[in-house]
Amino acid sequence: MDFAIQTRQLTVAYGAEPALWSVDVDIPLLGMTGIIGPNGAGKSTLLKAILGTVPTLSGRVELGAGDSSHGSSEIGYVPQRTGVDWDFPTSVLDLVMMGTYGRLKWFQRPGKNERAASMEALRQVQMDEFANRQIGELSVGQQKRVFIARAFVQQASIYLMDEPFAGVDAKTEKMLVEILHRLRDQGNTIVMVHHDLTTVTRYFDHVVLLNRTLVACGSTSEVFTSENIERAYGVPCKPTLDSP
Amino acid sequence: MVSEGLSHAVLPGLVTAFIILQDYDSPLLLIAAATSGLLMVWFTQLLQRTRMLYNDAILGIVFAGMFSVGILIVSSNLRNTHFHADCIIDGNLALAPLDRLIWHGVDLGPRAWNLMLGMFVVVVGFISICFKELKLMSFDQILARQFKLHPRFLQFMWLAIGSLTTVAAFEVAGSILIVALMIAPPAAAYLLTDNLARLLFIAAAIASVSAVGGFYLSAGLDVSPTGPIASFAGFVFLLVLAFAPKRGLIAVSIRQMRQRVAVSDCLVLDLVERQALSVDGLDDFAVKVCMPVRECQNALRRLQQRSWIEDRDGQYQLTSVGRNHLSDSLRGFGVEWAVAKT
Repeated sequence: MDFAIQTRQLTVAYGAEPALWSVDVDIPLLGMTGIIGPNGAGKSTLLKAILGTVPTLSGRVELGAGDSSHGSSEIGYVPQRTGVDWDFPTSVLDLVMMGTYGRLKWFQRPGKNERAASMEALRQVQMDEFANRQIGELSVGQQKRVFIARAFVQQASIYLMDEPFAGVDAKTEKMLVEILHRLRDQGNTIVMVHHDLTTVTRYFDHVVLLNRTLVACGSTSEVFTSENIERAYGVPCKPTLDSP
Repeated sequence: MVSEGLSHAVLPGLVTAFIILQDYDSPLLLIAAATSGLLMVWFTQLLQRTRMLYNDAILGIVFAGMFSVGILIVSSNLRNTHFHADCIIDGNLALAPLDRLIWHGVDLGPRAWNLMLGMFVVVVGFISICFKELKLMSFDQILARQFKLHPRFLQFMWLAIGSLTTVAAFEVAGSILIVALMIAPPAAAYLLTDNLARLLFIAAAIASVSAVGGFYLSAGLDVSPTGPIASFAGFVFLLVLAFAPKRGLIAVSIRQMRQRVAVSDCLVLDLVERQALSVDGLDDFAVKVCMPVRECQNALRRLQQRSWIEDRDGQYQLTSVGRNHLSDSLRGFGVEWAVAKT
């Protein structure tokens, strides 16, 4: 089986206590993977370690070569709401175009092609009519869609998201999930930190259960069991198997 | 705030280098002062990482501390030199044209003018070459690093150039004017545009207008130019704050008033549709729906003017145009069309 992301012996510590302890996860190529665990389990830290934005004490992170049809193993990161300066003087279209900067040479400015690609990405998430808005004027769900569009123009094949549904109402969550499932069906890998246990079986193909160490990792039907959840959360808990 | 800090923190480096070199024209002076500025930035970031203090408290501690060390050195060792506390705060813009740059006997104009021209070329060059990289660096460090744009190095360069600009301007402008011109024009420009490139141009234009305007003002008033230029920049900011077309205080309050009127018109329209309202029963109606009588009255007048309601046998009734407007607006608000048609 091909893997989009593999970690081996990954250990990260912020202070006296480790946030992640010797974590080996295999996140398969294609499909949607949820990183699940209690507060302080190191879920966000795992994402940051994959992105390489936190120093690791030990271990390594490997990104898979990406499948040939897509041709890139570029990571598109959708930040948490609090990690963004929403007052920054930039428009929606401008923000999405930032996703093309990696392809441009130093000193090169984004041109007509980049603009067209960004508009197309905005159309994909139905945000094209907001192209000229200042980013702070958007609702939370719209902000998420704009960042997904940016990952899209980055030609990412792996989308990393830190709790994309935090502070989002049910209707918006449904819309975001539809967009993400469409991206998955187009041959992308989606990895997100997720909090709501009741929707796990409906949203995810694969699950990483984490509580500083890896509790379990694999396909949702095999891994998302009451024993594993109890091990991760330390309290008895029955998974809700609501039908799609 | 960082620019304010920079303008103060360059002082200890400047005076220490002067004491060692005893040479007023040495370029090493500039480098020492810029280093001092960078030291402040580094020290600030160090304290920020401890997360024990608020950011503004950190800046206050670091730059006030460094500035006071500088002033201490000046007043104990350099009492009778060019470095004087008044000069440091106010600068000596009026005397700047007298200090000429002579090269092989050729007068190349005021020294400060040449220096600032050089800085202008460096700053404009740096920003125009690395514009997209700088923009991404300041907005999203994670993506900048992912794209291998070396955000840390860029940030260091950015701060170094900021520090160098401050130092270069320090002698003629003094710390107060530097702070005024570094903060007021961009703050005004920020109210006028959402586009970073346009913001930079507007800020530069406002700063230039303030400098020229303030200078002539000072000539007219026969005072040192520092104060008038700073006040001019502050005045332009206040004007923009009041009159900016989208974010200005006046535009915002007009917009809010209009929105309030539109919503309350709609509300009254909806109430008229659902509750019977006779032409002379306004007071009872207002009590029933808990709205100020005046506001009801105004809304009814506006609705009649637009012929969204009409007087039918002493009873207010929605016209078909009014009904369409109501259903359109309610749909626009995301409120379902809930009026039972009778």
